[in-house]
Amino acid sequence: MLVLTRKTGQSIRIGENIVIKILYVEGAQVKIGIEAPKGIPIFREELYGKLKESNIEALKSSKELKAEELL
Amino acid sequence: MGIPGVPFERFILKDLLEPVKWLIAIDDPDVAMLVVPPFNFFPHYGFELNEEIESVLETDKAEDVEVYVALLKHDEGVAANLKAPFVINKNKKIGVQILLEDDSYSFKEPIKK
Repeated sequence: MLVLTRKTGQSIRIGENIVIKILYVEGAQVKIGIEAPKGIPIFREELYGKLKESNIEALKSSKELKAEELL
Repeated sequence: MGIPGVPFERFILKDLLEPVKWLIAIDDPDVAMLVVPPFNFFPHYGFELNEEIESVLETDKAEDVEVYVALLKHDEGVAANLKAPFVINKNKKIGVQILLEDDSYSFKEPIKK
């Protein structure tokens, strides 16, 4: 993992089009601004994990569920 | 953009039993989930599409957009993923799964019959 130190107001650029800016820091919390091209999904990591799990579960469920159960 | 956890990008919707549809990966029809329009089961469900999503979908008109949620097996029956609906521009065949900030919606909301 690349580790960089930044100050409030400074940014990191990833490739041509993605900029991550440190907006402010308060205690253990950091507020971050992200500029990225449209269509690049941005998620909080823990939510992305849950989203992925729920989709995998939905694939599995589709083999077990019967549409009739809904009606 | 694809669907996180599902290693395919192209999907089709196929009717199963009204209102339930299959969302099937074109490149591997064995990869599929059951989806429904949420509003039949959750009349108060709703969210705003932000400009970014509208530009991905290439429309800002509500009538172009269809909404589906995935069905999941639940202890006693069926649940729906209200936290991450699929929004689809049916005219342009562009769809995306969005993650709602709204904490009142969960990934596994039981459907009451």
